[in-house]
Amino acid sequence: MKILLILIFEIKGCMVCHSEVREEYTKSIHYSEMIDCDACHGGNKDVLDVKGAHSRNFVGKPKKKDIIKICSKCHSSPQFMKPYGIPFDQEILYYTSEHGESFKKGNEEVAICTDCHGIHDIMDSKNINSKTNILNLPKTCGRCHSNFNLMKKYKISSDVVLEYNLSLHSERLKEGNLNAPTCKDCHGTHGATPPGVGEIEKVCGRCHVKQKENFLKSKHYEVWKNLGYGECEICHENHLVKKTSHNLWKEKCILCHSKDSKNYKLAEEIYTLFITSEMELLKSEEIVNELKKIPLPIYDFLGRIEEARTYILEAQPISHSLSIEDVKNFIIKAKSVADDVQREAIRKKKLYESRKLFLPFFWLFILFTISIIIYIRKR
Amino acid sequence: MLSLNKIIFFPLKKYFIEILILINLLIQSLTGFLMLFYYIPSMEKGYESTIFIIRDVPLGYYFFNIHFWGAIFILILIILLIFKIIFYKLYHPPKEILWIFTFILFLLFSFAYFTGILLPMENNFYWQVERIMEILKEIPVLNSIYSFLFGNFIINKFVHIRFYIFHSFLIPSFIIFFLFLIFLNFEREKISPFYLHYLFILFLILFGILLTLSILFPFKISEIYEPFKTPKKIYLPFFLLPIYFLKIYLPKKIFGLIFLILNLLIFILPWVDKREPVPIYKNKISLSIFSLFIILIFLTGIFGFFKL
Repeated sequence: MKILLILIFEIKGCMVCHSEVREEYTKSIHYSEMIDCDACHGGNKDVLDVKGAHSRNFVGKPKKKDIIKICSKCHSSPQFMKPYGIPFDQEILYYTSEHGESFKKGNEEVAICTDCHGIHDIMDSKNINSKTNILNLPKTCGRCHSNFNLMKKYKISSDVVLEYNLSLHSERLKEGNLNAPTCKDCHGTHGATPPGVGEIEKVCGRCHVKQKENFLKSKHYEVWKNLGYGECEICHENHLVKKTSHNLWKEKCILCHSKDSKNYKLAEEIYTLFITSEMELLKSEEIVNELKKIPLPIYDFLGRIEEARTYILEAQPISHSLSIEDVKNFIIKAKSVADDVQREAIRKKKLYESRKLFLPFFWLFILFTISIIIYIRKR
Repeated sequence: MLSLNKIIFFPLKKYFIEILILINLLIQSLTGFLMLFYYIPSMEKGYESTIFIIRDVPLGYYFFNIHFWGAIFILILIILLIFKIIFYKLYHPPKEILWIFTFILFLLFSFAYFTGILLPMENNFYWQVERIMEILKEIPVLNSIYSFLFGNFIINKFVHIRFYIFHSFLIPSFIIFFLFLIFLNFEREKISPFYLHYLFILFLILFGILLTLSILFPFKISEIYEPFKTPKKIYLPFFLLPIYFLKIYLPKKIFGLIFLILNLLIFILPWVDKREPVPIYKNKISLSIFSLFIILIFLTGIFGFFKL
């Protein structure tokens, strides 16, 4: 039977007996890079009898505490990893992480290599089926972090993955934007730790550069730091990051500032600035759409509306500094462009409608020609 | 030296409608020819280039709208011509060939309308074409001719390019050919020196009317065609409304046959009606039948419009 397997299916070594692992293992990157079973499990793969195969420092099914050592045998060796272009500091990083520190203390519940990467079916993270692929990461982390009973022990919320899945970041990722952040982009991979107070602005600021720059200028930064509050997540949430709207100025500021306070009035003023400029833009868009239906050329208008929209977009990160003067600068620019577009579009429409005035002159010309011909004839 | 009053030409009063058709055809060819420079004959670019003609080409707005109103005018004129021939019984031998040519001319003009409205690839027009195709499908001989020319009753890029060729080159040349044949049969007389002046005045007035219509009631171009989204109301050109009425109220299998027989009856009128060629208004029975015929056409047209 074994000879038949070897001859017909070219199945060799451990797979002759351990056929149940075969399907998983053949998908893995270790299989395609010809890293055989004995690299982790020991034993002699060239012998076909059980005793011989299970000799020579045979490990069998490794215990959880040994797994990191087994993986790091290759993955911490620069000579071994360099040809593949893979970093070799994962083990060191892992022990700096919350997971690693807890594991060091003897807690075997925390995630180790195999919990995230899989056991036999370890794939390249660029592979879309890999557990560590960007698209699958929330699901992989969620295996533990959505487990209510497990998370209760560590006093961690088990809703984080659910919240993330409802967030704008996840929405962008599902749309196919691979630059959208997942768990690893804020928390790190092997050195996974939650960003603490005083770090969040650095983490968010990696992508939202302008927002961070302006937030650091604001009064909130100093005051919140001294009080030990959070930063970005106070207004924008940490996992449930939603698409912002101008309404945030009213919804969030009222949580801390009373309605009559000076600071709330400032927020209201910024809100009004944004809303009025958006209204002006909408109005000019409406008029331009009317022109489009006629149809009249509108390329110039479309470009300028886009310009005005860019000013409003630029004003949004600047509003994090809470300086009304800076915001006003951009909003005034946007408004004046929108005003110009409105005025010119209305003028263009009136010019189009004034074609009718040309008609009486045309008919006068026709009457004039006819009368001349009749006059010549009568003479 | 050649003097104008020695030239023998068609009398203006007698052939007023025919000459108007000729002038209108001139305007149509001129505007159509100018639009040909900018039109791109493809399903994807057709709409874009039409918008480009209306919006960006200097005077393109006028070319498009005058061509649109001119098409409706020319159809009205050719129908008036048919009524005129019936009214004065001008189809009697030896002039029966005139009648046949006029009838063919009417078919050619309506075919030009049918092929022309597909070209802008605009949604309302696109669905008009679909609806006209539905009617065509039911008429026995015409549907085989259509299938022979255009393949199946589907609008695709091959049909579109054939429509383009028919509308811009084939149909105009046939129309000119038949119009030439019609004019060849006309009586001639010595014309006054002001004959050309009057033609010019006629041209100016017709052009003025078309220009006024295109400024006051321009064609409102809607979105690009959507083959999978039927609009709420699909309009039909006025001369197809009576046929549409017949299509709704007659059983599906008989409609085509009845329509064909009606057409054939009108077509063979010169050979059926062998009475003396006296104008209709001199005979009370003929006059009442004729007016009943016209009222019926109008009524069916109006009912057809409300059933759209």
